[in-house]
Amino acid sequence: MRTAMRKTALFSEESFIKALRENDEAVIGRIYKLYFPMVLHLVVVNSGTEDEAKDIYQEAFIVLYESLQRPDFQLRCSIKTFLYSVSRNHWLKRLQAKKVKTDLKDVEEFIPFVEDSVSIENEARLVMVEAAMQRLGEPCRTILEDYYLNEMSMADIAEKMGYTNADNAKTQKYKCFNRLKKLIEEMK
Amino acid sequence: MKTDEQFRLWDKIERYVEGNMEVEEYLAFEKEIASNPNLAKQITDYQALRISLDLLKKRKQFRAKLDQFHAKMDSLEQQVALRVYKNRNNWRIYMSKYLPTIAVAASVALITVLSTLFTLGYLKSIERSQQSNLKLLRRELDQIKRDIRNTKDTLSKTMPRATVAPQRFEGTCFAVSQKGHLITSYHLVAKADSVFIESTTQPGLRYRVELAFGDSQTDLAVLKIVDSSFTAFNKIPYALRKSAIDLGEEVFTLAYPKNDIVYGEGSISARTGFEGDSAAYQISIPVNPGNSGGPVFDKNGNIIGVVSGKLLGAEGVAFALKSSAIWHILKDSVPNELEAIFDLPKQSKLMGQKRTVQLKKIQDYIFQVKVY
Repeated sequence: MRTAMRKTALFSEESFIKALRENDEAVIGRIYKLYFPMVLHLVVVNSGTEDEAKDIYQEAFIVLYESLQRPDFQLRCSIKTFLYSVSRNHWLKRLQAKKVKTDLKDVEEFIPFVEDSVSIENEARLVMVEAAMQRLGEPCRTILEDYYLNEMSMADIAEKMGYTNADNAKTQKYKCFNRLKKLIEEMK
Repeated sequence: MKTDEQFRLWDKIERYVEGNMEVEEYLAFEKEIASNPNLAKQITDYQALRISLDLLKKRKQFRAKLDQFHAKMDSLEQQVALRVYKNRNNWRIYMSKYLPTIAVAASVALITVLSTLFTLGYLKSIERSQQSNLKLLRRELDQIKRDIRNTKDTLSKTMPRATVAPQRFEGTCFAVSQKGHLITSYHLVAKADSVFIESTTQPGLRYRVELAFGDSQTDLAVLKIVDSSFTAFNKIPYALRKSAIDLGEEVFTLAYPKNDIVYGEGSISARTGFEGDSAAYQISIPVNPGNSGGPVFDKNGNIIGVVSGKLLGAEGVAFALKSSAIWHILKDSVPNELEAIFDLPKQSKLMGQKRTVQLKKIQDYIFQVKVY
């Protein structure tokens, strides 16, 4: 009886949402494990590999996670359906990019427009920033990535990149930042 | 603005956004932002990109965490999970594919069962109502019967009986003694009110007869003329054959299947009768109900049997009680009267004569039996 209650408490939808909002790693890990077979099946059935399935699933999981981080976001369906619908859309996009085929064999119920406008906008901006980063070239990319994405200190970066001091590295970072901004503006 | 100055300002903005400023510097910078819209715009520009970068950072960190989860997943466990998922999914696909069929089959079965039950109940109710109708009819019939009986009683009381009771059976008999003994089938005369014999060859001849002997087992009856107008027959020409008769022997009959005497001929087709009855022959002569009790003669005019019946559904299959059997039955049953009953010549007087002559001599001793 007690174990049954604990189990339902651990696996209820509300507890999952709460865990995702509050960054409860243990529960997030459990959710991750729970729905991966579904997306794996979807991708494999639709001429994808296991690695591609992992990629797609993680993308969808990130959309779920980031959406739930926003206080205004309301989940309109179950976590499972959300993950499936997003995975499905992303895999469809990839298939279209590959120009393999555009029809998809579904293995679950799905919601066609599952991602809200805010997350789509954010996504578009992030994709642009990532693309600009890729086009940035060295040493700018490494410096910006290490500082803004990897949380390295300027002293460490200076040492890693062979600058005499942190200030020189900072000046370089400033130049790179501006170049990135310019690249993004060009891309718009 | 010199590059160095621009850098200093940008660095200040970054430190301000990151929260890496001393309190005094922070407050002073806030004042500056408030008074300098250009600075405020620069900060907004910085923030636009910085938010994206922060999001990317968070995403990267989260993705690393997901990779950790993924790595923790046992590959075997994953395969099992996938199989379980697939099977569950197959079931779902199967159901979605066959659910309509299953539903149709189930509903047909349900409808069949319900309609059968309904029909049975309905039929039963019809039956019940019919039964009650039947009972009602019978009751009405009984009432009508009672009424008729009452009317009859009244009529018979008030009026003298003028009508003759309707004739029930007709058959044939033949004389076996000059004193008026005749042989026929027992079934003709059993339970008879009154029996008369008539002859079409002797117009106006009509004698009242009584049952002298009867045996339902062998269907043999001996009649005796009890009419006051009767004196005696002339000498009977035919004899009773007591010896066995051969298969295929030619035989003939003379009887009254209709209101006239009819001749028929055939042969002995079996030594036993119906269902192997050893007291009878099977003869191949077309017979009709009126033939019952009629004599069967051999070609020399000896009586070899009495027609008793025919097999239904088969043509030309008739049965006749053997003359030897007649003799033995009577000898066993009425030994004292045997001589009185049988007053036949020892030998047939018809031997070697033409059939037409035989018939002319025989016909006057064959009579129509009328039972009332």
